[in-house]
Amino acid sequence: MLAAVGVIASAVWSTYAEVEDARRQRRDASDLARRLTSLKLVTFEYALIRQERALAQYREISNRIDGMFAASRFQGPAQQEIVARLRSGRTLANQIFDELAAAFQGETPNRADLEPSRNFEAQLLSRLSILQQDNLSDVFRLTDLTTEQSNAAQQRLLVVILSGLALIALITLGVSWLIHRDVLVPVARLQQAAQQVAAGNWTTEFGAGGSDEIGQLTRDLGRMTQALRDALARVERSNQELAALNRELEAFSYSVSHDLRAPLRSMDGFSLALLEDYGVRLDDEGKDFLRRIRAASQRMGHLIDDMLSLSQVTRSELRPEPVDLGEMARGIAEALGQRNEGRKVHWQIDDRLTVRADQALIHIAMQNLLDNAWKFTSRTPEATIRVGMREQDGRQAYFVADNGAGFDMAYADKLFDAFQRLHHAGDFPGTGIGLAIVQRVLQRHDGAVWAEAAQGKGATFFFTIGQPEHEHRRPGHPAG
Amino acid sequence: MSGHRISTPAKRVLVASGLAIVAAIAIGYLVKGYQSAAPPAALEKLSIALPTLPHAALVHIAAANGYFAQQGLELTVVPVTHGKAAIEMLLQGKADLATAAEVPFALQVMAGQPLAVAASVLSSPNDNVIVARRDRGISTPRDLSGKRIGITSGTSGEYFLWAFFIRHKLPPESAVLVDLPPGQIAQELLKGGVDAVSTWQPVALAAQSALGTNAVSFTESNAYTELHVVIGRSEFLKAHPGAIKKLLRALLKAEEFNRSEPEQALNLVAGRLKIDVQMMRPFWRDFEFTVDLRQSHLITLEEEAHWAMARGHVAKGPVPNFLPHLHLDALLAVRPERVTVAR
Ligand SMILES: Nc1ncnc2c1ncn2[C@@H]1O[C@H](COP(=O)(O)OP(=O)(O)O)[C@@H](O)[C@H]1O
Ligand SMILES: [Mg+2]
Repeated sequence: MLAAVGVIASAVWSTYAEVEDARRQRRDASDLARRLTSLKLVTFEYALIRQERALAQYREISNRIDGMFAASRFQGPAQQEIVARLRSGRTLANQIFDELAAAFQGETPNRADLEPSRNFEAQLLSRLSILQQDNLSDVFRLTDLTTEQSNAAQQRLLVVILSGLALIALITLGVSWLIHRDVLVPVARLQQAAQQVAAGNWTTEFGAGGSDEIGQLTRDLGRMTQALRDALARVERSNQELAALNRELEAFSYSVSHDLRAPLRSMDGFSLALLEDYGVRLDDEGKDFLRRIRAASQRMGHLIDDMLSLSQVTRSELRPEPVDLGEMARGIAEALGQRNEGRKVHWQIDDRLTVRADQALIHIAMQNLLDNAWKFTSRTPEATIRVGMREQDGRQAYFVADNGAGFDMAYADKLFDAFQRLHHAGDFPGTGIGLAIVQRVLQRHDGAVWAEAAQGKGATFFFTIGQPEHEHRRPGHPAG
Repeated sequence: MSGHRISTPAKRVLVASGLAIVAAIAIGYLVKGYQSAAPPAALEKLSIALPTLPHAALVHIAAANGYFAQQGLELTVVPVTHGKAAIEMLLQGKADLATAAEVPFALQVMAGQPLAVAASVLSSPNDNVIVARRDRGISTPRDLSGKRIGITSGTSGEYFLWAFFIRHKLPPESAVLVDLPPGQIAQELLKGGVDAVSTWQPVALAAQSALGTNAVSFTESNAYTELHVVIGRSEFLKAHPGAIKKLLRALLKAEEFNRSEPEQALNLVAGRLKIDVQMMRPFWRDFEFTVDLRQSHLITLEEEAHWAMARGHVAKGPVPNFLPHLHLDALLAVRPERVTVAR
């Protein structure tokens, strides 16, 4: 590109020099024309009035013209031919002028010679006229030629400049094309492939790429994607294995729970029948044993129900919709009150607690939290249960708070594991599965749950629903 | 998506190609300006009375090289011995055009003939020569005074003798002129019927070689520059502008040929006129073949008008205006810079 600009610049420069030279020649030619016109003028003045002054002027102009001829450099064969003709014409004209001057200055001829010398002078003047006229025509032609030359040079300059521009345009075109072919197209292809990969299309091929940096980058990206593809395939495989395992496990626990239910019911039923039909024949200790059998089998029934519920929470499909937690809480509270008419609990449930969640699942979670609050305030005289929301770290944390038994915060993170209980079944009955279910529900809603409590001063359970920055994300399969 | 990244260089490519196209168009336009259109090829017919003299060389060259045909002109040549005879053919209606020295032309114009010059095709300062016999006591120009001198009346030969006398401050009336046709000049000089002759080439050379060592020759380049002109009736020239332009184009082409191939032109003309090349070479050098019409031609014609009246060729009166007898239009149309007549 630089070289081309250099070549163009030098071409323009040399053509410009030609233009300048042609201009100089034209100037010289018009100078000559002016002088020759002046010369003709003084020649006729001299012929007419025969003054020494005109003669002196003729000689001066003539000398100057000779000097100009000596200094001028006209180019081109036509110009040189004219210059040659002008030179000889000038010599001849000077010669005849000298003869004329001599004739004028000579003695007045006698009568006999008067006619011939008058004729002679007239002939000289005619010859001089012809020569000067032809010289003038020649010099005008020279002016025309140098003008043409100058115009041609100017036109050449224009052509050179335009060709230069065209050349630069062509080179630019070529370079653009090369950049387009070697850089932009591969980069665009790379970008497209990367976007495909980003969109989750892991099978996208990056291609072999060229031998340059972009080619290297393409190959590296290809290798990286390949590695990712392999890792993903492994994860996928283990996920599938896990899912299969999970399904097995659930099927197993479901059938076990179902299968266990029937013998439990018979145990409870027969124990009841024994108490009712043969109670009179049993002593108190025997009756007590039967009652214990019944309690234990009922507890086991609860346990099985809870386990079934847990597995259901895990399996069922998520159908998010707007849910008013406050309304839901009021419903649960009413049911709790009807079931235990003896208890007096002070409820504080906020309005406008609408969340986007799966109605059935979130109901299970709320049920468990409110069950707990109800249960662990059973020994509190002025029992109060609050349901509400508070802003925390820019997120909306919903809570269920009570002023019941509370617990030691040291064990706070254990609560959410299944079968983990901080209280004796004697004090507060339960299976230890409720909070595990709550956690599972909120996990499925991309949310979190945590507790704040103190021994004897009540407990508050917070939860969030959904993760704003990953709203679109969904677990690929049930185990995820 | 990726289109966004490519759009900037794509735009650059577009701009560059646009520039290239503009430049190409501009260059094409300039180049086109240099080309000239070919002449139309409608055939026209002309006849010309042409002296078998080297003075009309351009016409001979153009005819020999087919330049007239190239211009779409069918030129019929009527050969004559010299220019005066050619003009007579023209006046008799036996030819549309004629070529001759400007002297017989000036005389015919002064006699009232409506003739005009379409172009001059030659100028030569040394064509005419005075060849004299030494044995008649002639060795300097002055010796010519009072001698019998052979001329062809009303031709450049006669006018040159007049100008020569004036140049040498001799009274022109002092010579006794004998009118001879060009074909008899050499013979008559050799026979001694005249003491000297004033004539053009190659007649002068023939006279010289006939006399051998007895010959003495005088030339005078500062007295008279002879022209050779293409003549036609004014009306005819005006009525056939197309044909005259074609004729002039062909003559200009012949001029160009003579300039670029002088030796070839000389051989061509010598062969056509059956003149020995070596004989022709010396005076051929002084022939300047240029198709033009000059302001100075008017001065020459006026000089000749003075002579014609003084010599009694025509009645005394005012010098006529020769300007209307120069047909400028055709040459102006074909090659304007060759017309230097003041306008
Ligand atoms: N509102 C509460 N106040 C005090 N302790 C609680 C409360 N909720 C739960 N806990 C503690 O967490 C344990 C686990 O609760 P959970 O999983 O619901 O089992 P369960 O209710 O069957 O005991 C409880 O046994 C209890 O120790
Ligand atoms: Mg519970």
